[in-house]
Amino acid sequence: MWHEDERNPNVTTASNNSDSLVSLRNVHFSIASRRIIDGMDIEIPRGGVTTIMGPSGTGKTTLLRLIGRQWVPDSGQVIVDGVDINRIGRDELYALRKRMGMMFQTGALFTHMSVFDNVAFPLREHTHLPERLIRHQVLMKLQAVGLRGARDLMPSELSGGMARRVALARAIALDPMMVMYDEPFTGQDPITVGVIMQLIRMLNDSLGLTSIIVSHDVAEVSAISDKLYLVAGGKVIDAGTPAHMQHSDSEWVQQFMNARPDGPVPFHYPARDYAEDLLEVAT
Amino acid sequence: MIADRLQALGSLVIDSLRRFGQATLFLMRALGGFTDMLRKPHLLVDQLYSVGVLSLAIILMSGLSVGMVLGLQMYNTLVDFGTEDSLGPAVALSLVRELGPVLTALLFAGRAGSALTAEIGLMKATEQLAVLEMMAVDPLRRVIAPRLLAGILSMPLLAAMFSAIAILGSYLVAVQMLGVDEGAFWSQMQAKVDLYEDVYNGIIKSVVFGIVVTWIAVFEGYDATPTTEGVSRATTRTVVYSAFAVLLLDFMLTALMFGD
Amino acid sequence: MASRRSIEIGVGIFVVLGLAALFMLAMRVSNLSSVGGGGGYELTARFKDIGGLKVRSPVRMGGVLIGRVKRIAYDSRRYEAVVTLTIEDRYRNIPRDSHANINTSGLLGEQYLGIVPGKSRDYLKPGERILRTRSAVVLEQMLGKLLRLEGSVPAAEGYELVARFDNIGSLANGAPVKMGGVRIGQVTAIEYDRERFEAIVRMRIDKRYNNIPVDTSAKIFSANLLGNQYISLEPGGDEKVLKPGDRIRLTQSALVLEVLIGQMLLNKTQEGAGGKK
Ligand SMILES: Nc1ncnc2c1ncn2[C@@H]1O[C@H](COP(=O)(O)OP(=O)(O)O)[C@@H](O)[C@H]1O
Ligand SMILES: [Mg+2]
Repeated sequence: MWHEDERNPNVTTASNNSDSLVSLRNVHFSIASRRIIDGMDIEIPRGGVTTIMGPSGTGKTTLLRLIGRQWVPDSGQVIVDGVDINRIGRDELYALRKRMGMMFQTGALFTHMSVFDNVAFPLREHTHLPERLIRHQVLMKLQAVGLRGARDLMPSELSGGMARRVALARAIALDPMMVMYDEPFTGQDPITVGVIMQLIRMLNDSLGLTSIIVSHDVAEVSAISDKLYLVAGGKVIDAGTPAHMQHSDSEWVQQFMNARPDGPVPFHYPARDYAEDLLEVAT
Repeated sequence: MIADRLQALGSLVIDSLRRFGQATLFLMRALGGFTDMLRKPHLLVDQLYSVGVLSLAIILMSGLSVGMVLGLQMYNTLVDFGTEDSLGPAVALSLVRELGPVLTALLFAGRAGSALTAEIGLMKATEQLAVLEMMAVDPLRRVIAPRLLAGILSMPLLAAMFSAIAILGSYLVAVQMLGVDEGAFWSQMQAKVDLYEDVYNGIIKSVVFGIVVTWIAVFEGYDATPTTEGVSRATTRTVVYSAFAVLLLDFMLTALMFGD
Repeated sequence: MASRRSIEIGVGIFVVLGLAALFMLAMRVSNLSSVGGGGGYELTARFKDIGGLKVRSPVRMGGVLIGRVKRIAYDSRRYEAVVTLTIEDRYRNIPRDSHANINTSGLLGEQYLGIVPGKSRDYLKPGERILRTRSAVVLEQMLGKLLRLEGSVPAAEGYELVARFDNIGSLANGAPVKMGGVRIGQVTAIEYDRERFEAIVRMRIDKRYNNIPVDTSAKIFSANLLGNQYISLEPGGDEKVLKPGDRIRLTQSALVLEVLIGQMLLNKTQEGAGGKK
């Protein structure tokens, strides 16, 4: 076993009798008195691939931050593996986070380290593996995202898509119990999108992971997802299997699933009347 | 009107106190990370490089020129009284007690402090700190602590180098160029400069400056608004606050140490 | 970023340079080997007046630094300053009949405690007191005397005037001659006229000031309570000016301070010791 400090026994015992790995219960969250999340209930089933879809700016990234307790909700509970993540101490939180991988939307690679060192970083921080084994692990993860040949490049030499793939490799370096992918397909070419989708599904099944994907690429994602959530306006619009969602009679779901520009989901950030705005005379 | 002003003043005071409180908690948590450096010395070595080694050139160059100017100016003053033999102690005392620690701290704030703030601020803006958090690596221990320790260790070394090379510079000017007696230069210096009273207190000063300047630099970076302007403002604040803090502390420390 | 190896080399050089600088400050700039906080033994000495002696002032014997002043206290019953010295352990053999004097190194230099060894074979033991002491000479007095000899107006550059006084107080050769507070010359000679019982003062005035009226008066003043006396010229209103060699007729003698004070204490309202000539 690689982890330096082992799972907290309280955490594990509480967990195994629930089939949700992550539950959000009536979560409210606002930034600077602006409601971002307005009472959400989300259940992420253990061992599955769950996708959270929604228009950009609705708080999908915020949701992931709440699950990792980078941010703390105003009210409601975030339960991860049986514990209320906002009621545990720092040590327990860190023990839990070692088992959570997260791929950030921007990649957020360490700019002063090479690709190899970025992926090796969590291994070097949290394990006592000899360098030979670390190298083995890192090359394996890089091979999976197709960037084994780029291991000596610095992050500044990567394209946005490549950086996100390196971040993916880094997120799974510790073989965690769950991985959160924030927009993994954005900026990738169609071939890579396919490869990453397969990779996510394969990792999920072969390692027994739980995967949470945040995305707006509806078509691709529904193919590999076990469960879909559609969020908008700080609320869950609908949830269910891909088949259920395709045939949902909700206007919202239909608009989003079929990428229609018009519908209940507003394209515009809330604003006053356009004509009024244009006609306004500067005072 | 007056109530508004008072309220503005009150909120300023409360804000400053809150920030100071945050900065203190931040410092405490970072200090907790000092023990990690025993297990991972390379973290410290890397930071000693970027904080200390990269500041070396500016410190040595400034020290040399300050020393040469001091030698020349003091010579011009002292020679009128026929007391140019006390140039050595005059230069050495002003350097060891005041100019060495203070100028080094100001240069350090400009060179290393601003770089630290910008680096940490950008790490925050590019979510590198958040990534560390999510990897269960405490950024305060992993990122802040080594930089803080490197700053605290580098400052006295840099200040000592500044004073030493400045004294050599004044020696060059006074003894080699202006003809002050070499024996008098060194022996008067030795007679007047006390290891405990002067050198030791000067080092204590620079350790205090090291703590304060580096603390300001890393806190401003960590606390920066994660945007381009946010980081640029934080960098400016580091230099300005450091300069104020150094000058104020220098006055207080001088009064404590040498005032009797 | 630089490679691992060059980083380590750089840091190594940095640390070595820093320690070398600290070493230089300790060994070359200050004096680690001399007494500081550590070793040494103590002696005491009592003085009426220690002048500018301070804690950490040097203690010298034959000019060599053998210790430092550790503590200065004041004995308010005996009105004496009690000075405690730390002497280096190697200088254990200070004769019991040695003198401790407070001296000044150079005119403007710091004061130090000089020990002049006596002849006794009996040496002072730690904690003992040096009995024979000489207090600080108040430097200003000495300086005043010395300065009066210096800074004279060159002989060729002026002309001479004469004045007669009943009493010149402590006016001395070289004392300044001022007008409106500005120094315009100096006293060059003082003689005593045995027949008329007056002091004859000759002064040389800078040639720039060649328009002093004949009805000018000369008075002897003190710069301050402890200060030196000087001649103050107060110009009159006459058109005619004094020529080289002329005599100033209106004079006022020195007010002898002690006499004044004595009179004040006795509450007498007589006129002062001076008078108009
Ligand atoms: N650090 C922040 N400060 C202020 N507002 C923020 C911040 N981060 C996100 N927001 C706001 O929160 C909302 C949700 O953001 P986010 O979760 O990133 O959306 P997305 O669904 O596109 O990932 C956005 O409207 C954004 O304006
Ligand atoms: Mg997002």
